[in-house]
Amino acid sequence: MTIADDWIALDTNILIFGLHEDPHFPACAALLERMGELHVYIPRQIIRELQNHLLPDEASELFRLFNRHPERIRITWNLAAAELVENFRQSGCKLGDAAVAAHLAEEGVATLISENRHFLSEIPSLPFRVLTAAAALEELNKIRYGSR
Amino acid sequence: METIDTRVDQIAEEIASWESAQQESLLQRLAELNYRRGLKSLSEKIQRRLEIEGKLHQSVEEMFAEMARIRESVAADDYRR
Repeated sequence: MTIADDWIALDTNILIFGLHEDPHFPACAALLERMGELHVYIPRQIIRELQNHLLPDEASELFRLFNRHPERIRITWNLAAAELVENFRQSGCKLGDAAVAAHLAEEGVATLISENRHFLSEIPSLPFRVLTAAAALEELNKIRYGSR
Repeated sequence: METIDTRVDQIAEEIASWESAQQESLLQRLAELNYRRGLKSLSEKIQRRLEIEGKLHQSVEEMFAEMARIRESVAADDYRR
């Protein structure tokens, strides 16, 4: 399982901090620049959150950019299965986090990149791992350039 | 005088003589550069808007709180109908 080969998902916070070039999370902007080296799944929940954070023309522009890598960036509008969302919610997470987890579990996504260190930490056996943007970049660099 | 069209023709002529793997590599590189330029431009546009709205220097805590609020609101709209 490597970040360069498997489908991953970027949490909304990665995309927002990256677009803002937030100085507290410089790895988010760096990771966003390298989207073309990854296989990124963007589910409905994340799309709709982005639409709330951005103006309509900003969101359209962002998705036009993502569409430059159609073989590497997969955007889907499907709802997650309600039963799966409910299962995650009953395991102790909030409805929104449960929706994200259900999308990833359904699609077999191996890794979620998020700056929320507490994301789903209450769930003992998540079907995917959670990495920060800095850890993801480090892993990507090791794959691309060796131990550098 | 050389026009853009003439220059494009010259470059295309040269690239057409390359191996297909080299051509593919060039196209990928071009797509990558266009993506990065577009991303930078969008990022600057969003930051200008946030500056005007007085939100560019929001604290990390405020941003996480806003993201959590939007996450719950979107999920409630989709799954609690």
